[in-house]
Amino acid sequence: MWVNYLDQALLMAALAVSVNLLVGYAGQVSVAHAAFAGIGGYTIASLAGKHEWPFLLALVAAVLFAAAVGTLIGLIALGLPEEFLILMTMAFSLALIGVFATFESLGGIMGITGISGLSLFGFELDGPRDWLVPCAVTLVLVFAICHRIGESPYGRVLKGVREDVVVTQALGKNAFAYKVGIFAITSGLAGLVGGVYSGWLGQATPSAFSFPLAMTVFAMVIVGGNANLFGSVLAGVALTMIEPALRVGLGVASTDAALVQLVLYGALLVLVMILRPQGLLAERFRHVEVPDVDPVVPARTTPREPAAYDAAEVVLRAEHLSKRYGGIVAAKDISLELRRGTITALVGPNGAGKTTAFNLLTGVAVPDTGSVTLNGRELVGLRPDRIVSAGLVRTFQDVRLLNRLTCLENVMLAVPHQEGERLDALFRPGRGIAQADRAVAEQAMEWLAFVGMAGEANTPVDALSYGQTKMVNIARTLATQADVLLLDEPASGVDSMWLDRMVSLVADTRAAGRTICLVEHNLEVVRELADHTYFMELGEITAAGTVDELTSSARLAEAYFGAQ
Amino acid sequence: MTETLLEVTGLVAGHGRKQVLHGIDLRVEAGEIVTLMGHNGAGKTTAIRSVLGAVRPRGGSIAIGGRDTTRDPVRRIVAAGTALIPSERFVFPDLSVHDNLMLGAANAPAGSDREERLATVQQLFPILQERAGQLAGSFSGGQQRMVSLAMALMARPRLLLLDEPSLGLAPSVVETIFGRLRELADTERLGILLLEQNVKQALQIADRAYVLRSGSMILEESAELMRQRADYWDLF
Amino acid sequence: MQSLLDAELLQLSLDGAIRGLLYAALGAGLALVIGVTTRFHFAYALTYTVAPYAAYGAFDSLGVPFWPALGLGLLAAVVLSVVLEAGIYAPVAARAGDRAMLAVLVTSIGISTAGVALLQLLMGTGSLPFYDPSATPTYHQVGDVLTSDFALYEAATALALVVGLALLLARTGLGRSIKAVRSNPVLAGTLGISIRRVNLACFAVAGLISGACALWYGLINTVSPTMGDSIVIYGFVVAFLAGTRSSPLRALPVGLAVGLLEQYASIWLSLQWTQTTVFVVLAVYLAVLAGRSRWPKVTLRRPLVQPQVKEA
Repeated sequence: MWVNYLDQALLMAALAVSVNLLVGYAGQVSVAHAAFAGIGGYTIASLAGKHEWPFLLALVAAVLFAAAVGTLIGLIALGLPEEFLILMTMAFSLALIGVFATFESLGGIMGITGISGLSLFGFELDGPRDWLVPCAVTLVLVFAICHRIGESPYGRVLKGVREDVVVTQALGKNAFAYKVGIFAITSGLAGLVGGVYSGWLGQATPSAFSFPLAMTVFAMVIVGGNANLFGSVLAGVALTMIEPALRVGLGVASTDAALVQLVLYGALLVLVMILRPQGLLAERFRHVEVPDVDPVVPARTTPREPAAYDAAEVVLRAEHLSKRYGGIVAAKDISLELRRGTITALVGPNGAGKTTAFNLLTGVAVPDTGSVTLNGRELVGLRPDRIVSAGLVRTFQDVRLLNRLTCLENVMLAVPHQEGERLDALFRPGRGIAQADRAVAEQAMEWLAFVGMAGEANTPVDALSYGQTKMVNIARTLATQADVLLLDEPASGVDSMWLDRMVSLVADTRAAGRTICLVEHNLEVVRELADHTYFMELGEITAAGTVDELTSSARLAEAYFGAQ
Repeated sequence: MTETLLEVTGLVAGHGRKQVLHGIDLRVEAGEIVTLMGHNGAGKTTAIRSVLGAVRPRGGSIAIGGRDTTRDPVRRIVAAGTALIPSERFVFPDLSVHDNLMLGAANAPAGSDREERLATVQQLFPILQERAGQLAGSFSGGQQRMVSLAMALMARPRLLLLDEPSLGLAPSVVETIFGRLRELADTERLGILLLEQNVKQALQIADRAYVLRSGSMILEESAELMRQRADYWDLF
Repeated sequence: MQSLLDAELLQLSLDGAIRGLLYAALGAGLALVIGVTTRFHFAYALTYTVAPYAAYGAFDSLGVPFWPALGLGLLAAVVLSVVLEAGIYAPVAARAGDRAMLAVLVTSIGISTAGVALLQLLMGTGSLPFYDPSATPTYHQVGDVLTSDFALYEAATALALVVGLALLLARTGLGRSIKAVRSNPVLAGTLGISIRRVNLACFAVAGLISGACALWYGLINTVSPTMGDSIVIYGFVVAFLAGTRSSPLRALPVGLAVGLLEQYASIWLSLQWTQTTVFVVLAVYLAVLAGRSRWPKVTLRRPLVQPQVKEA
C-alpha cells in the first residue's frame, strides 16, 4: 500500500514542480494544470490503452498535445489582465473536463478504464512496484528541466515578468514570448505527468483530473515555497502522505481520512499565508563572490564647453511626433535631437507631456504621426524590447527595481544577448551557459562598481535605501549597453547628499560616451548638467537652448510660474 | 490675536524607503492664505498629506489648532476640521455631484447639518445645484475643481489644504476659484495652505509664501516681498 | 409536435429565468466584494453552504422552530462572512503587501476547502433532510408549465436582493461610502472614510445574499456539503461579466442569460453538457475579449499606474 502512495506522491510532486515554474517563477496565476494533466492522461488512455500504441510514443504524443493547448492558452492569456487569467484558466479547465465527461468516445463520465499491459523499454508495468521507477524518473526529469530553466538567465527573466512586466519589457526582454513559452513548457510537463498518472492509475476519468486536483497542487506550490522547487517536492510528497499517515498512524477511517486531509490542506494554506506568505522554503538567489573592488564614488568631472554640443553628431532624432488620446492632445508636433555624448534636459510644468514624449520615443505609446530615428534607423513601429536592442533605454520615475531580487540580479537582468535566455541553448550539454552567466555577472559587477554600489551586490533590493536604489537603477540602465539613456527624474526624492552623487554619476555617464536625455524639475540640477534644454508645455516644445537662455525669457517665466 | 491653526516643526516624512522631507517648519494662522511653492517632487504633497495624517511623519511634530496631531489618524483630523483637496483624482468620477458633495461631509465635525451646508455650498457655486444629478466625471476640469472645493467646504473645515488647484485650468477659472478662497479666508477666518506651481496667481491671494526645494525649506517670505521679485528661476 | 416543443421551451425558459435570478443575486454580491475590497473571495461557496447547515443544526439539534432556524442560518452566513474579512483576509492582505491579491486568493481557497471538508466530516457527505412539514412547496400548473410557490419565492428573493443592493448603494450614506471606496479609494481615505468599515459592510451584504440564496435553493432542491462549488463559479462568471465597478442591476441580464443558456442547452445536448456549455461559452468569450484586448470594468486596484504596454 505504501508503494502505491509513494507512486502517487512522486507524481504529485512532479506536477507541483511544473506548476511552480509557471506560478512561482513566472507569476502566472493559472489553475489549469489539472486539465493539462488530463489532456496527457486521456491521450495515454486512448492511444496506449485503446489503440495500443507503445507507451513511450503515446507519452510523447501526450506531451506535444498538452503543450499545444498550453500555447493556445498562453496566447489568450496575453490579452487579459492578471485577474482575468485566473478566471480564464478556471473556465478553460472546467470546460475541458466537462468535454471529456461528455464524449462517449472518451468514455463519458466513467472515463476510459482498464488500461493495462503497458511497458517501458521492455519492462512490464503491472503492479505499484513496477511503477515506482517510471514515477521517480518522471519526477527527476521534470525537476531537472524546471530547475535548469528556473535557475538560468531565462528563469531570471521569468522572475522579471513576475515582479514587473512593464520594466522587464523596458529592459529589452520580449515578455510576450516568455509568457507563451512558459505556458507551453509547463503544460507539456503537466501532460507528461498526467500521462504517467493515467498509466499508473489504469484509467483516465474526469474526476481524476478535476478542479480539486488543481487546487491541491496549487496548495502544494504555495506551501512548499514560491519559486523553490525543492519546496514543491517536499510539499508534494508530504501533503500526499497525510492521508495514509492519518489512516495508519491515527487509525482514522478511510472515508474520513481523505476529508481530514482536505481540512489539513486548507488549514495549512491559511496558516502559511498568515505566518509565512512566501512559503516554507524561501526563494533562492544568485550569489556572487564580490570582487575586491573598492566601492569608490566616481570623481566629479569638469563641465563641458557649450561649443562641444554643436559639434556632436545627432544620435536620436524625433520629428513631428503627435499623439491624441480621445479628445486630449498629449503630444503635438514634437521634434527634438539628442547629440552623442551630451546631456539634454526636458523641462516644463506639470502635465506638459514629458512622460508622453518618453513613451513615444520608446514605443510604449505609438505616435499618430511622426518618426523617431536612432543612428539613422526608424524606431516607430518597433516593439519596445526591439527599441532597447537598437540602443534606446528609459528609466522610470519611481525606479521600479525588482524588490525580491538582489542588486546583482537586477543588473544582470538588463544585460543583453545572454546565451542562457534561449531555451535551445539551455539544454545543450556542457558548461557553456554557466560560463556565459559568470561573464554576465562580472559585467554586472562592473556597472555596480561604476555607480559605487559594488558592496551591495548580494543585498536584496528591498533592504536598500531610496538613494541606493536610484544608483542601482542607473547601473541597470547602463548594463543594457544602450547608446541613449532617457532618465526620468533621476534626482527626485533624495536629500542633497544623494543628489550630488546622482549629479556626479550622470556627468560620469556622459564622460563615458553615452547620450542622455533627462526629465528634471529641479532646475539647479538641470543647470549643472544640461548641455541643451527643451522647454515643453501643453504637449508641445515651445523653446530650446541653454538653461540661462530659457530662464531669461519672460514668456517662459509666464508659462512656468503663471500669468499675472 | 491671531490663532495659529497649523504649526509644523522639523517634519521628516516619506513613503517606503523614500525620504521626501528632511525637516521642515511652517505655520498657518487663521484668516491667512499661505502658499507653499517648489518644483515637482520637492515634497509639497508629502507635506500636506503628513498634516492630514495620511502619511505618517518619521520625525518632527504637527499641531492643528494648538493640539498635537502628529500621530492622529485621518478620520480624527478631518473630524476636527481639516480638509485636503488632492491635485489629481479629486472627485469620484462615476458618482453624481450630489453624492460627491455629501461624501465631502462624511466625516464632518459633530453637529453640522449637512442639508444646510449643502445649501451654503451650492450658493457659492451655483452650477452644482443645476447639475446635481450629473456624474462628476463628465464635468470639465475647472468644474471638477469647483466640485472638489465644494466637497472640502461641506465638512466645515477650519484649515484647508489645497494641492495645486490651478492645474490644467484656464486663467479666468483660476481667478474665480482663487477669489472665492480669499473670500473664505477673510469672512470665515479659514486658514488656507495652498500648494502651487502657478506662482504669480498664488501670490495674488496669499499673505505669506514658503519655498521648498528637494525636501528642504529654502525660503520664507511675505507675499508682498515675493511679488516684487524679478523672477523665480533660482527658487526652482 | 410543435406545441410540445413550445411547452418544453416555455418550461425551460421559466426554470432558466428562476435559476438565472439566483445567479444574478450571487453574482451581484460577489461583484460588490471584489469591486470594493479587491478580495478574491473564493470562500463565498462556504458562506453559501453554511446557511442551510447552520439552520439545520438549529432546528435539528437545538429544537428551534423551522422558520426561525432559517433566520439563524442566515445570520450564520453573515457572521462567517464578516469574520473572514476581519479575522483572516485583512491581516493576510496587510502582511502580504504587494502580493495581497494572490495571498488572499490562496487563503480563500484554503478556507473553502477546509470548511467544506469539515462539514462533510461533521454532517456526512450526503444530502441533508432539509425540510419540515410546514415547509413543503405547493406546485401549480399554469397551462403546460409547472412551477412551485417556493421557486417563485426564490426568484422574488433573488430579485429583491439585487434591487435592494442597488437601492442601498444609490440612496443611503453607507452605500455612498461604499461607492466612494470603489470609485477612488485614496480620495475616500482622504475624506476620512473608514475603508475597514466599508469592507466589513460589503462582506456582510455578500454573506446575506449567499445565505438567502442557499436557503431557498436548499428548500427547493437539496442541501449537500458541495452545493457551493459550482454555484460559486457561476457567481464569479456573472460578477466578472457584469463588471465589478458597475451597478448591481447589471448582474440581472447576465445572470438571466447564464440561467437560460444552461436550460436551453439541455434541449440539444444531454444533461451532462449543460454546465460544460456555460464554461465553454465563457472560455470562448474571454478568448474573443483577449483578441480584441477589451474587457468589462473589472479592475483590482494597483498602487502604481502602469503605462499602456502595446504588444505589437
